[in-house]
Amino acid sequence: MADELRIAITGVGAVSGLGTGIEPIIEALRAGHEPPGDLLEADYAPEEFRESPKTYMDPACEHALAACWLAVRSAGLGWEGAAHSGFDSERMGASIGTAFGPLDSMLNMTGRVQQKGMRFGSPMIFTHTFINAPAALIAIEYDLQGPNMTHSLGDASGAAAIAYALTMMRAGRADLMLVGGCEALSDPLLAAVDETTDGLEARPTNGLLRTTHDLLGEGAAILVLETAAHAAARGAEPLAELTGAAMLAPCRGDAGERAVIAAGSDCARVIDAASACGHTFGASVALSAACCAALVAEAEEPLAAVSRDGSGAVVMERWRA
Amino acid sequence: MKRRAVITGMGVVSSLGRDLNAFWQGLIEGRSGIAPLDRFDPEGLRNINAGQVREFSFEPAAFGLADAPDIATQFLLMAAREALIRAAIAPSEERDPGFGASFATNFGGANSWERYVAGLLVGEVPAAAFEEFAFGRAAEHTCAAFGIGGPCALLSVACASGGAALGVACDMIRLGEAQVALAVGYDALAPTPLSGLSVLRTMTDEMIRPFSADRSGTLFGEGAGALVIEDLEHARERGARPLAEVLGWAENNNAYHVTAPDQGGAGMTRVLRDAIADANIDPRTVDYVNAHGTGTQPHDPAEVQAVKNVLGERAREIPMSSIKAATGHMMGAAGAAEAIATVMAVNEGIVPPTVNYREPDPECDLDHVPNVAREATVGRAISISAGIGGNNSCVVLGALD
Repeated sequence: MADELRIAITGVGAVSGLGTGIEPIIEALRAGHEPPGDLLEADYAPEEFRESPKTYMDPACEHALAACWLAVRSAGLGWEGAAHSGFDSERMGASIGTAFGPLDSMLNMTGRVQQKGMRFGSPMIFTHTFINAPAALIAIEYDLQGPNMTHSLGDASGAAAIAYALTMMRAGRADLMLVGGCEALSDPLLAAVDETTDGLEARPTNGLLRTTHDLLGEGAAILVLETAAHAAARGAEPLAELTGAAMLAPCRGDAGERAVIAAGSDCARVIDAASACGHTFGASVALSAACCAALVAEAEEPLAAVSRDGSGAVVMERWRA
Repeated sequence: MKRRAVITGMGVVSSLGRDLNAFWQGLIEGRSGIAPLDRFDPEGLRNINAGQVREFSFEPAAFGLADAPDIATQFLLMAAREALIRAAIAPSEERDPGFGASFATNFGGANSWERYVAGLLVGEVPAAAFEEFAFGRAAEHTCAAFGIGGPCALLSVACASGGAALGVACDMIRLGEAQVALAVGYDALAPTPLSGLSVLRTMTDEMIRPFSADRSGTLFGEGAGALVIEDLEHARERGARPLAEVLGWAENNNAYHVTAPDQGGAGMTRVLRDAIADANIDPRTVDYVNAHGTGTQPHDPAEVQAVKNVLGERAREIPMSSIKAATGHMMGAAGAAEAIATVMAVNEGIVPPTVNYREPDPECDLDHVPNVAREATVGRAISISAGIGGNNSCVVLGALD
């Protein structure tokens, strides 16, 4: 592939029920045992992972911003405090997937509206109820004035976000993008999952709430994508090359195959972070992709992250200079 | 040779009526679908008026569904069906891998969410309502109903969503990932979003008047706009008549503030510039601007400035109108419905007016086509959208040469 079309992964950041960073997830994957229990909540101090103080933040957005904080440091971007002289803000963007978005804030807002009346909605909370809030807050936090997109296709949301960024960057629309997914284990989500898990196998659709893992988790993962030229110009050492992605209509189960073909590979080994940090809905493919990026240097074959329903997938390889 | 993305069918559900004809007739006659909201009690809102879809009926069985989906998804399915019929594309029995889709919405299944929360507040868990709320659900229903088995996207960039849906579908065609792609923007009025938009004072307590000096805010609407985007060669082979070409598009973020427009419309200036660059056209060849034009005090001048920044002197020579006072601000559907109005302007040689316009504003001093539609030759046009979160999108459309 021509060099200008090669997209490098130069950093990863993650928060999950196993803590902050990708390392605890990799350790758990290597150990090969699922954590006990049925809920794995992300327990960390979100205010320590922000470039600027915030008055209010939904947990889904907290996870996304914390993963970004870790990812920009992992990539050696030197953006501490979000100052990034020498970078072209107009050529940088974000693409984020989430199945449900800021549900805690939505419940807060709708609770006020239904119990007190439409006059009593909170303007501040309302602006945090939009499903594009995580991506918009990332853009503001890191002054990313280029492409900015939010994707919501259930468990495949993270794959959709990464596939979109790959298309935009190969089209020359951005040099650097923060991409991935986030999800929070909010009360309204947990209530719905509890109510529907029984008997969902019989559903004809791909079942937005169906769980094949007993363990539910939350968190976010962000990958720093850069064009090969941009990474080289700043002397960054890529972790991996993002070689292919596919996001297909729901119920199509062959995105993994499509992504491998798009990547020009023969096969790929699937890495699933869910066996370490639980099923994380819209964050799941991004967390698996972050694990792929961390593991691919020692892998012989390409690695893939695939959504549970098989409709979205990304493939990456070891970086070859 | 580079693949070209053309539009071969369109469908609209809006407050002006249930189909494309009602929408376009309403627009060129200068009518408005805005009237007192009656699907739910508007008590507590700054304004009881909205662009509500009326006399709407939906048959789940016609889409292979046992139960009615969320009302926003109903708008989506009806507009999509009209667009596919107009394009003469029959639903595929099997999932067609060459048939893609790009959906966009602000609030997804917002009315199902209201039902879900109402249940939670009385100690019940209506989980089926939660599943109907989930954004991905609309994509499941629609892909199943029409046999869509190719690339798929479900996007949300607030009120810039509709334009982005069209752009993403255009890329599916240009990259050869699909031969046909459905692009749909959709949204429904619901209590929580309207409450929020009311308390933010985005909603006027008077009347929506884009570009008019006495404007004081927007009014919201609902519905769906659907476009069938197709590879030009594919369209020609099957004898379909292209209505217009999607020449280019762009989306971005102001990276400035969640609700306030940035200084001098900088983000919108960039999105226009990038869309025109993607289309690879001379900005002096643009004949019409379909504006986002919400009628809020800060937004309209920022948009006018952005158009002047990019089109230069040409901005003063061509019409720039907003249809939002006719339809209400259709939120995630706005960009798609406005792109459809733009394609109609290209095809019919008529520019839809900005209704409810009263007083010229020195800061909005372009030709805003006040109140009355006008004949004009429109070869190339741009449609602009912007939304909460600082997201912007822009689509460049043109007549087939």
